[in-house]
Amino acid sequence: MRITTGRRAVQGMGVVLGLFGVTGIGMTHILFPGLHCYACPWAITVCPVGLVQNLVIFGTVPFFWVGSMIVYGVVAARGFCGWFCPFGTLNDLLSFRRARIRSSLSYGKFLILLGTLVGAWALTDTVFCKLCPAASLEASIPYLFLGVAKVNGPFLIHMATLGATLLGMVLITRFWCRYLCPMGAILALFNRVSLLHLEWSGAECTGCETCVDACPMGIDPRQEHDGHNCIKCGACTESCVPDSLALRYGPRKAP
Amino acid sequence: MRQALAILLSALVLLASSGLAWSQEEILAWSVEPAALDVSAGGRAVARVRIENTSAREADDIELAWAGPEGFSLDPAPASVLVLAPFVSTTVEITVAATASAPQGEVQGNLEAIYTYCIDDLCYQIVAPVRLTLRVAPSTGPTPDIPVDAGTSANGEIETLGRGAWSAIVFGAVMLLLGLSGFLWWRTRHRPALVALLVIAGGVALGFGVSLDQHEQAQAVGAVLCTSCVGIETVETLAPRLSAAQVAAVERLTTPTELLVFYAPWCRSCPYAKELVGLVAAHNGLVRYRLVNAEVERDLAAQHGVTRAGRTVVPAIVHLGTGKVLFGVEDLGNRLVSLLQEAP
Repeated sequence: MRITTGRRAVQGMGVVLGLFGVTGIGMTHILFPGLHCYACPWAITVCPVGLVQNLVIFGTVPFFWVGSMIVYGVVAARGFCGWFCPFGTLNDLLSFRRARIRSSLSYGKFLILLGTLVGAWALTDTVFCKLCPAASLEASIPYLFLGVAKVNGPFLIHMATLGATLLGMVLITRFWCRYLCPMGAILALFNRVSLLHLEWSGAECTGCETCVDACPMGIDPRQEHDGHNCIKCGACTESCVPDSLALRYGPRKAP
Repeated sequence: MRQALAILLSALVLLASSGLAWSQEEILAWSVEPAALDVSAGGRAVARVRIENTSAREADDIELAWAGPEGFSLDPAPASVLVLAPFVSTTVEITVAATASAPQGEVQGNLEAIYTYCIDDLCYQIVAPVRLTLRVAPSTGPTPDIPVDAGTSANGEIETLGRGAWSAIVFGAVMLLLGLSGFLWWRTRHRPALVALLVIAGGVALGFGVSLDQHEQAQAVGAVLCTSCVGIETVETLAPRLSAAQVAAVERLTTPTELLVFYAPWCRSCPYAKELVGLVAAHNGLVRYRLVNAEVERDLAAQHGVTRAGRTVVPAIVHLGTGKVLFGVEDLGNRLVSLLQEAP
């Protein structure tokens, strides 16, 4: 089975989990390992970015949150971006134009994460949620039809951020995941130690760079497979003719 | 160099996520008398919650609500403490009501205390867990109320301090393990050991978080939709006002009306809705209302249609006569007056 086929199936499971509330199951205690708004009418999981803002506002030392993030980090880290996150899946669906990543801009997601936390602390408000394009898509629009939301200033701000993000996704593959996603930034902290990882064998590499062309994140998987921008999607491994790149699960070989 | 920068940035972000939260610390100390409260199934018992302001800041709007387990409630709801001056103590009396089907034996009860305090222009809302031990006996008959059993407050204080001390120890341990992971990465890059350290750190943090009921807190945040929190409408933090026309319309009402006002303690627009309903009730004695914590009384919220697709929405005002529901605070003055003018 091709990796992409398996990945699409797992991404489908991510969407199913994200919308499992249609079955009538209410909110659970699970933090979603991706960017999925807990205000979505059919969400059964808690958005880690939304929750951590509330914890900052409450003044809670976030043991449960930190523990959950470490667990997700060790299990797959940004592999969740590539394999599970519904908003990442939307990025995939709108992938039309590949471009190399601008490395300096990719640190923007860490700044957004920092800004999200500082904003919550300084303004005692969930500032990021009010701009989050996932919330626009998964909460603002559904609640408009459920008679709770109205077309007002906050709604239009949501639509503007959603529109800009969708445009970015259309113009550059995985635009949101590359540069802006604070959830990706959290998971990226563990990218070097996660059990799901890419291995590159330099001895077999012919230097054809098809992996570079195949990468939706626009990185060079040979050099940056352990970096904060690799979402471990495995697209590069499929394109690699001499099989010098491979997706593995388990402890890594010592360098 | 770039890798070192990424690790440094990572560590900073992780520290920030924990450290920022740490900075908004609790300023009130809680203790409950008696240390173990005797109550019979289907009955009530009264306890006293001693609140001590240990800081030089003023604490405002201190509210206590029942946070679990099911089968108990605070009935009647305890009075709010509007202001607690620095280094001052006060005592709030609470009545714990147990249903006939309440779990029996020794039960760990959880109260949720919510209050705010400000440092200059920055104000924080603090949600603090307060625990009390219940000894629930089987139902003893039609008049099961049990009088207050005065005890000592020592246990409560020790428990509160103990939790804080444990938090500090576990926080330090998790940070130490994460720091050690970073050191190991820098010195040896021995990844199995790194993974093992992270798993221990994650397990300790997760387990301790669950012991503090932080998973319940996460679920409560997700289960209640605050209209202003995710940008469905603008936050309304100013004091509500009624126009002369609205006051006249309220004063003309001749039908007794009962309203339920659903709120969540952390919802920033909810105080506006609560105050506005209070203002209306002050202008016409026929308008009566009850404040309902939507986090605690989710069944009541579902029963009155304060849910959308399974999510409790706050703030919400229910007209018990017509069953109509108003969500949010946008143009609430006019909407509330229109709601009250509708005949059941």
